[in-house]
Amino acid sequence: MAIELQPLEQFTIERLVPLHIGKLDVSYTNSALLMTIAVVLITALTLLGTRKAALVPGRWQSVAEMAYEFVANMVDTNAGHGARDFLPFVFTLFMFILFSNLLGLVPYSFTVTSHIIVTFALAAVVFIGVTTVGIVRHGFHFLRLFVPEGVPVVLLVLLVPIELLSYFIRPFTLSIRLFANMLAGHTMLAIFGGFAASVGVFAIFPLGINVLLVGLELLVAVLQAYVFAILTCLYLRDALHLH
Amino acid sequence: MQQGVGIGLRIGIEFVVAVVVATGLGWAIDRWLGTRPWGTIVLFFLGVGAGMLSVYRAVTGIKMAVGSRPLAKADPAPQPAKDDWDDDEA
Repeated sequence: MAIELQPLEQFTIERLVPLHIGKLDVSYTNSALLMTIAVVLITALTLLGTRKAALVPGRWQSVAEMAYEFVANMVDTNAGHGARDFLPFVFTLFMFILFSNLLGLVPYSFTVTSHIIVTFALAAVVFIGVTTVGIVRHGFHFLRLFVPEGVPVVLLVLLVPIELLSYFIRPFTLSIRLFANMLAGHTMLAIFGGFAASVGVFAIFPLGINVLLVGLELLVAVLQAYVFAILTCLYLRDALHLH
Repeated sequence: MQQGVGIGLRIGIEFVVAVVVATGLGWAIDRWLGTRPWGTIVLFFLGVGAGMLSVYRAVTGIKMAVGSRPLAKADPAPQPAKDDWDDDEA
């Protein structure tokens, strides 16, 4: 049996509607399609959930309220007081990543967050936004974030570059974490799927592993959205409440 | 449990990325200024330092982010119960 194993084929970007502005390629791709679906689904969920605000919530309303309260709780406990202003941002971010991750698990669909450029764009928005908030709130004092308290001046020469570095590495850790988890998970699923297709009767074993893996991937999908959102909250807290 | 897995997944990548990004930055600086190999060497060690700092801060409590104090100091609002990691700082 000669079935070609191409576990990375699932990450190919395809141009569904080719579109060029000058030399810029702005084609509507499968990635863009999945993003659109995610946005439409989130909008539908929140609109359906809040259409008639009943005292005893219906199905849609409870899902929407649960999601909202989950994120609101996260912002309150992790970003400190005065961070409620940023709840819409964190909520949007969380829901978008969550839906992108979960939609990626649907067979034959495409995982938007398995592309580093997408996750890096999200992380860059968080990084630039948080830095801007910090500078607007604290002005020049924001730089105090990089100077640890109660440290001898001699050590500051070493510590300030380290602090600066660990600050500027944030968008990278944030984006690579999400991207690597999604990429690895989906590649693994495809590899075991390929095994199942090529070993005949014994396909039951890789198939069984795949069943378990899908469960694990579900957990990872939710967890990575959660981690992304919670780190955004922690970064926000840094910018809002300097030490 | 959910939070435990979250922290675990979080710190796994923290150290590696810090070292890789810092070393890459050093390499780029070397290419730009022609100071090979000093930028790479210095930034590699700074990256290791930054990575260790990030991991240390991540495991001493999720309530403590990179480059900051614990929330208790910055914000005297009522705190939820501390986790076991905070014992040595009490």
